[in-house]
Amino acid sequence: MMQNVIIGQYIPADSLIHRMDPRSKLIAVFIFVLIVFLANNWLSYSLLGIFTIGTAAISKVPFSYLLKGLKPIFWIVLFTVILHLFMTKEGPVLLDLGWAKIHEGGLVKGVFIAFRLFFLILLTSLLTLTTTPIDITDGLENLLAPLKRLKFPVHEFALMMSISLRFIPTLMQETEKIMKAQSARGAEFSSGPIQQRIKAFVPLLIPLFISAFKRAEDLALAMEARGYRGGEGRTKLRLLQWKMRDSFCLFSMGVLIVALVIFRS
Amino acid sequence: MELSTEQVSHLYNKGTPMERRALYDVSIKIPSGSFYAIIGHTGSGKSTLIQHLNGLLKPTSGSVYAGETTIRSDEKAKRLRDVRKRVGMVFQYPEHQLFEETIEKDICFGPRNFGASEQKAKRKAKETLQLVGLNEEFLQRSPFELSGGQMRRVAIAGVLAMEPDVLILDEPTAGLDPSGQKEMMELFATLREQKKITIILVTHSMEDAARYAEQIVVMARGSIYMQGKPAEIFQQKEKLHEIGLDVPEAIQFIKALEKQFNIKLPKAFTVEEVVEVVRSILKVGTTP
Amino acid sequence: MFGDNLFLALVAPKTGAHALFLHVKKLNIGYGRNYGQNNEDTGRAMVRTIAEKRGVERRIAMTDIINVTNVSFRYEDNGPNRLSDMNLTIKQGEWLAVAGHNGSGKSTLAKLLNGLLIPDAGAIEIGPFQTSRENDLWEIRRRVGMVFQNPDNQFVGTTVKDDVAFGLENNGVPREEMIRRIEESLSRVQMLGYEDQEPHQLSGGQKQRIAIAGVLAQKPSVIILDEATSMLDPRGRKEVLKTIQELNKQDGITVLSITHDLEEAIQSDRMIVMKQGRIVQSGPPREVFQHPELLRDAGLELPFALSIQEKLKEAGYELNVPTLTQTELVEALWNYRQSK
Repeated sequence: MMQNVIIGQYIPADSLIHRMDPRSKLIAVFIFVLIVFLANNWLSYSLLGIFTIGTAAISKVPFSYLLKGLKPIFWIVLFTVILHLFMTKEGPVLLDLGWAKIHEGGLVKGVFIAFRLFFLILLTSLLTLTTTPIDITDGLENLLAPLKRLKFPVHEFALMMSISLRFIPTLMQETEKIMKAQSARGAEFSSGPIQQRIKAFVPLLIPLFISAFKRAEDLALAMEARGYRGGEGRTKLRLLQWKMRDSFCLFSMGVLIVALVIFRS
Repeated sequence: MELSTEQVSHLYNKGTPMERRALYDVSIKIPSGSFYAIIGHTGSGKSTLIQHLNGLLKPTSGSVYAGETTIRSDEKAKRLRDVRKRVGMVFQYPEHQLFEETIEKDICFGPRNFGASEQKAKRKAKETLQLVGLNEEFLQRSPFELSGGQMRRVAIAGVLAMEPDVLILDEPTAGLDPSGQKEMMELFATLREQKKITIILVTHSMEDAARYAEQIVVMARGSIYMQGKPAEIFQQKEKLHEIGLDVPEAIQFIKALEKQFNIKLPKAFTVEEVVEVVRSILKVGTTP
Repeated sequence: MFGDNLFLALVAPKTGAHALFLHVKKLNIGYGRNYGQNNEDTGRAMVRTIAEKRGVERRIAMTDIINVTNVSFRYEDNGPNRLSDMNLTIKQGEWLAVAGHNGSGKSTLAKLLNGLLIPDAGAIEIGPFQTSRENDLWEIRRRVGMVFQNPDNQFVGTTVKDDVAFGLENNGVPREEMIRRIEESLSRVQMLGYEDQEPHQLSGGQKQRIAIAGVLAQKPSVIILDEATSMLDPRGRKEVLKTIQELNKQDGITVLSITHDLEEAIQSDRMIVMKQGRIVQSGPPREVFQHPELLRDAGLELPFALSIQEKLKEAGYELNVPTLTQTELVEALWNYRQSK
């Protein structure tokens, strides 16, 4: 029952986006999140749209996966659109329902917000769909390196992330095993009233906690035995390579910013 | 209670890219009160098979019969509960499933889930704890202060307290030291004597299979590879070698003796039996 | 799943890794980066070339590689001694088995040998280094590699190659050198081609062989196996033992295997039997097995041939030599029968 959960969202494929350095992707997504707010008219929104859809097309990620990523936020988007629809009182009235009026400004604003959210989600999920979690970790560690000066434990943070990633499948297997063992003793995890169901998870969670503690202890010992002593003086096997395509990616982000500034009203 | 499977196949992750077939048309019949051993390598389908026998897994195709209950792929969960109560399952490293503050509470978990009154559950806890060789004083202690072997006994008591008709044991001696392993196996043999329950033992130890089981099922690649009495199974050394399994040392040894002394010797599975055989050929006056 | 982070953060400092890390940081010294050849390595290489030239399997050098002198250790200040006044010398290139019941102190010994624990009294020397000197610890841990019991809980990397690299990264080995050593050590444990596999795709035996590769990549002098086969199925156990045998015989790596399986101990050059923190017996397996009652007393299960022999003795049939294997026993019985 648990085996069909795909770890992370990574979809292996051979595309330009997949081959890019995680750092350039992270920076690009970061920039995109900021500049989405620059768009304020049809022209600038179309520009963002073309950029997003173009990137998605280059990534070779099946369209169905992208849609799946959008599904959970659909209701939030709808809610925001409706909110704007009724709350904005600009422009001529399009529809008078008696208890509320819908203005043209509201409709435009609602649609813009919806697009903005869709673009944001689409591009950020493209990041996780085309980059393995461990690559994202490496990229983050590298980008955040300057923060070490401010005593932010960048290396420890990255190590923690990578160890968690490594143990997710192990803990999933373990969860399944304990669930089965408790089911064999008559525990019910999927039926009954909600309070009862929450209570039913105690026999699952406590053994999981205990084993996670034991694993952490063993792991710390094994790491120490293999000469782990923090991030200082450490070399890395994983190599991040900044290539032409990465510089080009940042360059095109720059072009996008300039274009947005020009086209916005 | 009799357990049987008819043409049972099982697919994990059906309909996903990770689909994997773990069982192919397995038909097996385990009569009430018998002692079965299932042997085979990791990944041979042993664990998948036993999880069908108590309704933790449902067959992708085929049927499982547990007493009067039939389990098919479209079975409702309600009826599986009854099967789970009557077919107790001790997983590998069962001590990992302990979670309560006291041993008593932990043992009561199973019986209470299956509707026993608190009083009855407590009585059962006391009884089964003794059965697994721990005295009453342990009842109010935390299971987490015990040694590994003791914790395992408590976990087994937790299953026994449900009063199952069948006890399935998935490598119950894994990770114990040799004396602990021996004690554990003796415990099951005694339980069977006293309680007359069916025992199904999944094991990597050919010695245990030969010594304790009446019937051995050898699994390989998701199918039943061989089935029969220990003596029959372990006679076919080559066939076992083909799938990388060995015959018990006692049998190997008797074979080697027969060859060296050029005589026919009786079967022996345990050290004691082997010693008897050896004595018979060492006795002065007998001619080889 | 998420909690795992939290646990590591909570538990890791307690084990001392964190404290040591802070300490070393304070000292502000360059860590031992001489990952190149050192005396031990050249010594081992010499043994190996001699062995190759003479066409003999292997020779145990006369040099001591580990010296344990009057070591005592307890976990709590008022607790019982886990090790009491222990003395032990391990020769370069030998395979030493440490047998004992759970709680006999054998795992404590293993952890003391590479400085995961520090003795309360006495000293542990690995060549010129001492575990009680904090500056020596990193060099000791590189030389004395450990493989633990649970295959899952010592796999640090997200993939096989990341895991083998972990120790090398810790020691600041340059990347090119790292890649070369990873390939070399994976080929030694017959796991080439698995570089990008993730731990949950591997069997227990394979994971343990990766752990051995991780140790090998550090070019150690000694490998300690702390019950490394006890959680494996028979097939995995065979794989791991075969690998260890090769490393000991062909590469001359000193092996210390901690086990409660006497069948495993039979394959060693020398074994010690521990009970309640003390060595109760020591010598080549053949000698140690001459006193089966002492082994039984230490809570160990006798190998098959030996237990038959012991039972026969009780029944009045005394064979003169201890028989460790079936073949030996059959032969001894044949001779016995002939002599009557």
